[in-house]
Amino acid sequence: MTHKAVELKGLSWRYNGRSVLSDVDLEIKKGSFTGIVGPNGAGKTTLLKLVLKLLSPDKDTVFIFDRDISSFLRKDLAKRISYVPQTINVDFSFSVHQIVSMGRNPHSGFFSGDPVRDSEVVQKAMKETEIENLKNKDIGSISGGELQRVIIARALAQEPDILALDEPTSHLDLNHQIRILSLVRSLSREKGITVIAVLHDFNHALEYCTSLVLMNKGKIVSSGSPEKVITPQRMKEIYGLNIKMETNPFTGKPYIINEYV
Amino acid sequence: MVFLLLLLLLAVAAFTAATVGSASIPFSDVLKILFPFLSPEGGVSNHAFQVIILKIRLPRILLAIITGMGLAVSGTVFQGIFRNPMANPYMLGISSGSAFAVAAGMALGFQATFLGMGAISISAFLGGFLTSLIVYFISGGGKSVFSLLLSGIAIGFFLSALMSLVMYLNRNQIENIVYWTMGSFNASTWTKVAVSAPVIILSSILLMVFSRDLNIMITGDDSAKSLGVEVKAKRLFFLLVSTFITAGAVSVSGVIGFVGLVVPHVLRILTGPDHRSLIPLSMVSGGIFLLLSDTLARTLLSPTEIPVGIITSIFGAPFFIYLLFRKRNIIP
Repeated sequence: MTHKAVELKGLSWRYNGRSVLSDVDLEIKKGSFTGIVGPNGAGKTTLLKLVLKLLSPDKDTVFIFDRDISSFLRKDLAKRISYVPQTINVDFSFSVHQIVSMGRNPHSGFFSGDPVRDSEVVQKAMKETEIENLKNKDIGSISGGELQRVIIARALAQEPDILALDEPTSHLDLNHQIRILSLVRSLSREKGITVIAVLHDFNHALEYCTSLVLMNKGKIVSSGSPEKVITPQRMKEIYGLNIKMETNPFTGKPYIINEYV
Repeated sequence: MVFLLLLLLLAVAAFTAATVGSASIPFSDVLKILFPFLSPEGGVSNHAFQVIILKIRLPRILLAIITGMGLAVSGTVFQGIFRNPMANPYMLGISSGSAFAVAAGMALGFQATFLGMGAISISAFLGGFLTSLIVYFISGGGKSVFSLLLSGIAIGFFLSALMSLVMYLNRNQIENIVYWTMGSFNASTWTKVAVSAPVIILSSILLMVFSRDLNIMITGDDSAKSLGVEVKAKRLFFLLVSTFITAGAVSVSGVIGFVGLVVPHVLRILTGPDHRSLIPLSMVSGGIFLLLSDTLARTLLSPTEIPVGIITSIFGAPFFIYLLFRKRNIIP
């Protein structure tokens, strides 16, 4: 078995003639919680979308478990990697249970599929994300934090090897941000799911990630263990801000304090 | 369960509709004419009744049902594709495309038949279907529902203007053209039933087969792709098939508004948004709704007929407003 969940080889992407990603090489380890950080416009979300085949990358540039992503049928890819967007907008009153059940789509065809197992997996996903009590609620009537849990439950119902999250906490208050990230971390640890998350908050990234990818202007500046990737010198170069690294007395993990301008 | 009840309701409505009209025919006679084997002793003596039922009312009833089914199914699918409960089957310019083609055909004295269908039906079908294809390509191959919506509006206005021009230059045809755009079943024939029924019913079944994908597409393009749906291909499929249905409906009955908007909308409020049940339920309800509307259209001011499109809007719109108010808890 390979130890690489995702591998990028010379990945480039252009949008309207402008280069968004240029010649990116990266390996994401199986079972890691990898955070992708960097300023706006660095190409983080584009990278995530290419890994999910929401954008179609060139041949032989993106590999999922050593297999070229362009050779995957979308349905087969959806069994390996699932997506947690910032939010979903559903104007029709689907119930929470119906939304989570959609996660079983990749596993059921016209003549295949196992309804009994589907409903077990959906039940379990709702239990793990603690949304069983919302089961019959209208998706439009629940709070932002609850909706994020529903989206994660749907992603878990896909039974993926990789969970790709795009700024999963951007609409949430501090309490919910931490609860969502802790949930994802425990899922990653317990199930061995590889997590790839675009994050904005460096302290969250330092706290939760086992590995970080720092991007700027369509390139990877540094990748590896969080405390090595985030340095005062790089932060000064990229964000133009002075920072200090400290140790969080609650967790013993590094955290940053930034100057204000 | 609800589906079977609705089917039963449809059957009752159809039999009742067969009894009413310029000549009132007893329910028992209708049964005897439709099922002669039920009365082996001789059937109905009144030959005129037989002609009225079999040659006039029955094809008209069936055509109204089939058209209503088609418009409701394609309305359901359009609302799903556009993720908007206010969408209708004419979003891609089918109505204006058909109307323009019919107007142009009438002005030019277009004469043709195909599968027993007349020139008006043919131009309506082709005009509607081709317009939708043009809208699809202008929108960049359905890149997003937003660009589809915009190009639908643009082409719709353009063709409406062309139709007005045709009418202005051919004033002797104005009455025919306007009457056609209001929709009517008074020219129903068995041929129209035989051609439109398989088109609309088989296409509807095809849409039902893939209705789970439509549910997932409601959550957005990226979300649906990540769940394994080939969004662009599926969107083309749904648009193509429901456009085929709509163009088929328009070609036999003219432009009948409101059925494709109000029926799926109401059903969604009453029975939920899952397209696996919504499409079949809308289908039967659309049949009932348009049959009742057409029955009113031909009986209210009998012997004069009101164009059925007027009836669907007069009775549909207030009910729709009632539901919107109810949803906002303004009235019980």
